[in-house]
Amino acid sequence: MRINSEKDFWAGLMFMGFGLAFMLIAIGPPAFLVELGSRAGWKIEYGYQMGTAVRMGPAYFPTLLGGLLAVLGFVVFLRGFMSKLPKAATEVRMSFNVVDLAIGIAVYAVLGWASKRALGNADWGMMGASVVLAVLAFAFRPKAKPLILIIASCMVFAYLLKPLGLVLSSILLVFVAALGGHEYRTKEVAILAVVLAVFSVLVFVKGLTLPFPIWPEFLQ
Amino acid sequence: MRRAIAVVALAATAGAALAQGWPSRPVRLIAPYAAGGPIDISARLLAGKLQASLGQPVVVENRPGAGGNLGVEMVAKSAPDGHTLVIGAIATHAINPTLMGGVPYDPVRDFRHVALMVQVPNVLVVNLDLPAKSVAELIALARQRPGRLDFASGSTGSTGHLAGELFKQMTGTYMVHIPYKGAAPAVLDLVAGRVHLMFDNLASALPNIRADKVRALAVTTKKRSSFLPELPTLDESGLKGFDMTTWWGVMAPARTPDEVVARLNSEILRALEAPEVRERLRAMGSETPAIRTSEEFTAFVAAEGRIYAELVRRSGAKPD
Amino acid sequence: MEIFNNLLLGFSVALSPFNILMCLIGVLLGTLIGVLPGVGPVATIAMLLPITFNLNPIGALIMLAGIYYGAQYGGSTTAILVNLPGESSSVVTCIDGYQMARRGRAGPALATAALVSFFAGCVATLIVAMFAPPLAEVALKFGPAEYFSLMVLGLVAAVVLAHGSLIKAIAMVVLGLLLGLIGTDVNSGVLRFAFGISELADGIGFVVVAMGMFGIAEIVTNLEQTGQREVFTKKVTHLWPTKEDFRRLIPAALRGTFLGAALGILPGGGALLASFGAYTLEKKVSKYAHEFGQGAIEGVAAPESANNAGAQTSFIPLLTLGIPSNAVMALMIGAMMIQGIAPGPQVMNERPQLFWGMIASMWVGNLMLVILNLPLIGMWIKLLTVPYRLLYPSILLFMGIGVFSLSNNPFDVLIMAFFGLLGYICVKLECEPAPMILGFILGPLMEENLRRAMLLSRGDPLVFFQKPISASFLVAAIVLLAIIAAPNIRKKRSEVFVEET
Repeated sequence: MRINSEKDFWAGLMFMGFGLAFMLIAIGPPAFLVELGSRAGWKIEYGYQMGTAVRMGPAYFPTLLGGLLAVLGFVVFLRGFMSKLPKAATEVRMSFNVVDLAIGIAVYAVLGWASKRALGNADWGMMGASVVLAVLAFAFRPKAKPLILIIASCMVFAYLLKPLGLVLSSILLVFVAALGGHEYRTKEVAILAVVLAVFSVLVFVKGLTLPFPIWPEFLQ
Repeated sequence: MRRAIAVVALAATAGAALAQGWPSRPVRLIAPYAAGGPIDISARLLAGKLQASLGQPVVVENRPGAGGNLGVEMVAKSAPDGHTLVIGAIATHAINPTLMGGVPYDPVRDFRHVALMVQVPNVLVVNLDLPAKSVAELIALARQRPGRLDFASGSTGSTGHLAGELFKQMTGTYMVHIPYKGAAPAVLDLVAGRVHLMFDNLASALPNIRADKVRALAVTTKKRSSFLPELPTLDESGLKGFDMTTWWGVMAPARTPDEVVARLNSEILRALEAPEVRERLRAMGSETPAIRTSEEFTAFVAAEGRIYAELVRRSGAKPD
Repeated sequence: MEIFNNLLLGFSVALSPFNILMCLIGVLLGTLIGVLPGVGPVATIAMLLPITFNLNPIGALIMLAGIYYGAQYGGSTTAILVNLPGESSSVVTCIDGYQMARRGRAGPALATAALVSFFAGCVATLIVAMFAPPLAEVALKFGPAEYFSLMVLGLVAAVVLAHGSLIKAIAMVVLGLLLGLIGTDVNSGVLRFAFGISELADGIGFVVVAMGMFGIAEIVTNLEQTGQREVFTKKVTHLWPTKEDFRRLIPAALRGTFLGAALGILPGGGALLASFGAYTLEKKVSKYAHEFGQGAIEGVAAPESANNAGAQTSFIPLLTLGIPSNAVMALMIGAMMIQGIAPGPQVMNERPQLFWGMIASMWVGNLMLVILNLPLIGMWIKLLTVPYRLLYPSILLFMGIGVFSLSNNPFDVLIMAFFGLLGYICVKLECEPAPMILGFILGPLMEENLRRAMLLSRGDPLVFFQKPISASFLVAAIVLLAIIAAPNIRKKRSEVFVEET
């Protein structure tokens, strides 16, 4: 068996993964997974009531759809082996691979969990993970820089908006996002950041009265 | 002993000092529901008035999520300095703790219950084609056709749902609960006759009652409503002790100094008495609450918590 | 003649200087927030409610309504220029509008959107004025069974949105349906797929998903490719649609308007389907079906007209029954209530000035919008010449602010980032996001109505076929499915070939 269409192969796997995951959670995952989860301090709710076609329980619809998605995914997956399209059309040109994705998710999960244990919420872990991944991207995956830095810039902005205020956090967002592009010019980015920060304060805080702090907490 | 007194005295003066400087910066009033709903609107009404009397901006911040629990939890964990307040409601402080099998805060101990703002009765309304002109006739009908009548509600665990469950328990009848996403689609199906009855909140039911699109049979409060004075209560109609209202009010984190709570309480009561505020709260179907002090409010929240814990458990409304 | 008198009364109210001013403020503000991605009319109207306390009721409602349809206009601008749908209704406009912009035809696309919206607004306003009470009866005829069948038809239509592989489009719809189920189950109150995260209890917001799947994924893909925005024709030939364009867009706009107006009457999610339905219809009846997805002007005209017509007719259930058909309408009810007006059947008789004044102001507002928007097109086109390295951080910031403001919680931004990643992967695997978004919107509605219908019928599935309206939707869905499947099986391979080369 040879994979003829990488796109279909991976898309099929993705659909099957989502479909089975939804089904599994709705029906209830095997006991050892639940056990493992609760040991990590993660109380997963699982196994909703199935009910009958007459009186459908909360598990009925998702199980049905999850199964359908898994089947559809399997068909797409099979097509990956049967495609007769030229290679150029079916090749997946992604800036990271499955292992990278797994590492990324793991970094978020571990740091989020640690921060929840230590600080009571996952906020700092989420932001820290974004920063860690951004650094990793710079070192090992320069091609994935756009993706990771764009995501990191959003996370940094979101988690620092309340403590740092709108001005500083939006300047940070612009700088981090600009680093993800190809042409980074410090002076230009600085001007853009200041202009956008002023604009945001005027439009969103003064104009639309969104309840955002403008300046950092410690300055008030 | 002396030291203890000294400590208490010190704490008291510290509190007083804090209270004197309060509010020293903008006050955040958290509305734990989405913008635009009745709780949010009343919060914004109040904020406008408080801002003028406190001399600091009062900013309403919507923190929706988890049936209101998210915003309430955040305030429970905030600094008790009077600069972070929340609108606590019957859902977050009486129903959810049992309905959701525990919430990450104690509705009584984690809060200073500053002032009750709004109390809205529910009204038992039925479809016009239903051959029941009174509560007694409805009960007879429900006995005659067990499991054939449908009652709608805005969501599982809402006051409308629980009022229906209480009605079923007290009358020993069986009706099927049809939950909706919000009261509006439920009312639509009630008017169209796809469901038979509903315990709707007064504000949303009133226009349809006045336009003769639905028939009102009773209010769920112990006292008659000033909006529909001719309408009997369920209590009068043979269901002794039936008393339910939807309520919400301002709360602060526990350990907020007494002085701050007292000042807030009096400012809020004053704001609620301002004609333009009272007028608009009345438009939401609210009667002016009889509860005035913070202590009464705390006792009220505790009592409501017990009542609904019992009701939710017995009704089986709790999701498993 | 009565209608004439009523409209006269309405215009006498709507054309008072104060109300004109209110209308102008409303549409200006609406356009602004519509253009800014992420900040929607719901948040804005909610924020403005306290200010309206001190206005007179008519002026206040005219302003709020102006924000609503102003935002619709502004939203299509962002959809066309930067492929970012801020509203569920502009998801479809993105598909062909953005492709037109990429081919240097942003001007005609924007002009088309403005003109057909105005046209649809005029027709729909007239429909509201003439037939509001009888049409309200139609809304009453739609129960859970009818809505479920309508959603089924809508989902089949969603598949047509995709221009690539049929099976992947179906899979994306199903994935969207599943993601829409996250949160508290309406029927049982059980929390599903929330992993113990209380922020997920109320489900994931549409804006969050759309900003991630479209916005972030688009930015990342652009940055990866060349660092420039991909092949944007710098030279913009003309701003106005050509004669040929007009010939093609007029029938599309007509069909879109009537479909949209009809769906807008249904408060339980009809208006949501308007733009999707119109696009599907057009793609099926058009001679230029092969151009859809690559910048067909009908692909802009149909959904834009449908969406605007639906936005106007969704005032029918509000004004006649007091039933809101979406979050904005629910806010309007709030606004009416604090003004001491109980929205409901009696508004028309007890407050004719308010009722007809609002209807007349809808027309006035639409006129203002088209006058306002046509000259702005030149300015928007200029925006495309701003270097992308300056444009994307700005878009990103506005998206961040908008998404954060939904519930003042960083969690929503985290979810947006997740959907950004998913969207990026989907782009790379050639799975189109539009069908998924429609599935996401319809999923919860569909399940809710299915289960409610089954509860009400005490478990009899035949109910979907016994009710005539419901049955005809199901038949239509089956026919549509057959139409989609038949040529697709034959043409599939060659079609994919064409797209790739």
